[in-house]
Amino acid sequence: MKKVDWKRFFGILGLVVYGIFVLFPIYWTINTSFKEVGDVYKVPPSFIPTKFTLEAYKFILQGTGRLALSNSLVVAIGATLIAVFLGTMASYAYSRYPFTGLTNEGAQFNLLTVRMFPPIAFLLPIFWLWKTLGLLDTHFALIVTYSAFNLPLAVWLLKGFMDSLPRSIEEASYVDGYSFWQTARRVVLPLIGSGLAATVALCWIFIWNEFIIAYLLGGTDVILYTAYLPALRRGMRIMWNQIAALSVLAIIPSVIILVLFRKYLIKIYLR
Amino acid sequence: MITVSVSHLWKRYGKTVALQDVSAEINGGSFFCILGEPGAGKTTLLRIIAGLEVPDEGDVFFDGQNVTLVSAQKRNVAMVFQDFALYPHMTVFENIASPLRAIKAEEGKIRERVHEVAAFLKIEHLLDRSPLYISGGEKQRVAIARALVKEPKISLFDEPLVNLDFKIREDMRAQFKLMQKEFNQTIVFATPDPVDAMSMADQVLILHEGKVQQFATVWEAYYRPSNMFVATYLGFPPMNILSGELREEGPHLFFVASGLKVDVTDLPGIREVRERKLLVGIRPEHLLLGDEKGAEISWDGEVLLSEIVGSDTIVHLKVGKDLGLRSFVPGIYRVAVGARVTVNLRRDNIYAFKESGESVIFPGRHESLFNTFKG
Repeated sequence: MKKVDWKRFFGILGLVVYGIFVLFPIYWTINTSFKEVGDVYKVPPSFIPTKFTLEAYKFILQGTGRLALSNSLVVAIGATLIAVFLGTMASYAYSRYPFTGLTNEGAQFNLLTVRMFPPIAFLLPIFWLWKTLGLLDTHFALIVTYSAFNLPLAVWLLKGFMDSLPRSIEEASYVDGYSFWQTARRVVLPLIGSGLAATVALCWIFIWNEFIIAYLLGGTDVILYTAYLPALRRGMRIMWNQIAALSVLAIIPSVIILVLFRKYLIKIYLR
Repeated sequence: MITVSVSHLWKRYGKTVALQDVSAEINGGSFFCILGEPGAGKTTLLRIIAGLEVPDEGDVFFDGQNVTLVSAQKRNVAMVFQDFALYPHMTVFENIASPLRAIKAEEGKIRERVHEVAAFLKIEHLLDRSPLYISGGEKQRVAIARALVKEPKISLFDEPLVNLDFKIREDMRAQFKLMQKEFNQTIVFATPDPVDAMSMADQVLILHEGKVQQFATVWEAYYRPSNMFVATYLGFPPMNILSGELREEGPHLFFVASGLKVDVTDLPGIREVRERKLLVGIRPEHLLLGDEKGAEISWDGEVLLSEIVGSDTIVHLKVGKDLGLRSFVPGIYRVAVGARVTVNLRRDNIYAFKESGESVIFPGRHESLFNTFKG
């Protein structure tokens, strides 16, 4: 008789339990999003919709929900691109040039402290800043604020990748006859490609899921989906099916990015 | 081919001085060695010639034209880095083709040239591979191919043999020399290994702590070292140094060091030496063991140890009271520990230095002798 590999058996069992633990809320969200609102409140709850309906999706995609999602897309894409673009340049400088006055680590740590405070500590002054400038509740204000909050993360992640790129490779490129910008395009960017992908993914997740900034700096003219979700409460009744439908739609872009970039994200943890 | 010259270069990194007033002239078509210990400033000098570094003071001239502030991109130099610096995301072919792509050469021409250089270095079979998955020796050949492919004004090699194993090193030395002739290049070669310099270089610049010790042909540096550092550094095993003093006894002049007494009355130039305290240097290869006929100086010695290095032998001896000397014997020389041997030396192979290290007596003083060395 073949001996049972108990270690492996329990390992797989553990992973299955963990998988259910992680995936169940997602399953339940999807399940809820296809139900009628009355069906949601039924006791005991049903594991598949008793009446399959796209009502909730229709509601979200016709009304403010669609606007909120597209606002979120604009803001998250804009802020991610700016944070990663500036982060790439800043991390190159941190990695390659000495800073006078501060050590490189000191200068970088200063930048990183921005991420250590809870954002709420900064938000009141930032709120007043935008209000004074008359830019409150605009895409611009949201994009700039999100980029500012995520730039330190981008710099910190990318600097690690820049540091691991030997200087001599860039110098070989200069000697071969390429300029600084040609070298950046030919050598530096391809070699930190996985770092860029991972940074894009992480910045995206932080910006896309963010609530407090979205709630305080937007909310009327420019409403992001995270700020719109709580609005789906009608009086005493919570429209769980609509909330679920919006959540399902909101998961999609993040899933796409994570699937595309997952092998690069793993690299960050393996480094 | 151009003449590259550097004049009065200074470079500091924070508090450390990497180069101090370094001047040299590199003739077109020559094999030029920069020799020095790690930290002597070799790499800094190469980087300044390449245009990767700007000196604090001093200038770099390419054929009389001041290029000190011209960027590496525009200098048309080639450089082989110590870590080879291959582009890991490109194939070996693209790595070698890189300098040609920079000047936007025709595709056909690039192909032809890359294959030509690859064939010479015997790496044609690697062209489609990634540089990540080839051996150290192969990586180095790829790095050299990248330098050869573009017909540079000058090729700079930063300790390219250091990362290779012993056997490949031997082969590469011959290859470098061959390559220089074949591709008609001016090569500047930085190395900490005097054997590299002695086997390849036409001219050698010896650096120590950022200062030029000597700038000469290899043989000149060997026979006419400017100071004790050069004399001990150039040569393997290093020169024996005896510390002692000159003593006058009647018409005779003796050098006395812990029990040894050498008659140096007839040593040319000795009369002009003012100092009484001297350091005398004897190269291990000049100490001959056995019954030499007509040896001018002979001592009795006791064998302390005999070690075989490659296919030669280094014999450690005790001479006089407690004087340790090394003798270099070509070939395998078997001798028992404790055996008594006669140690012979020709008088004109003696080097002597002031206590400050400056040379006062060396074999190359005698012009006729020096000319025979030069061949």
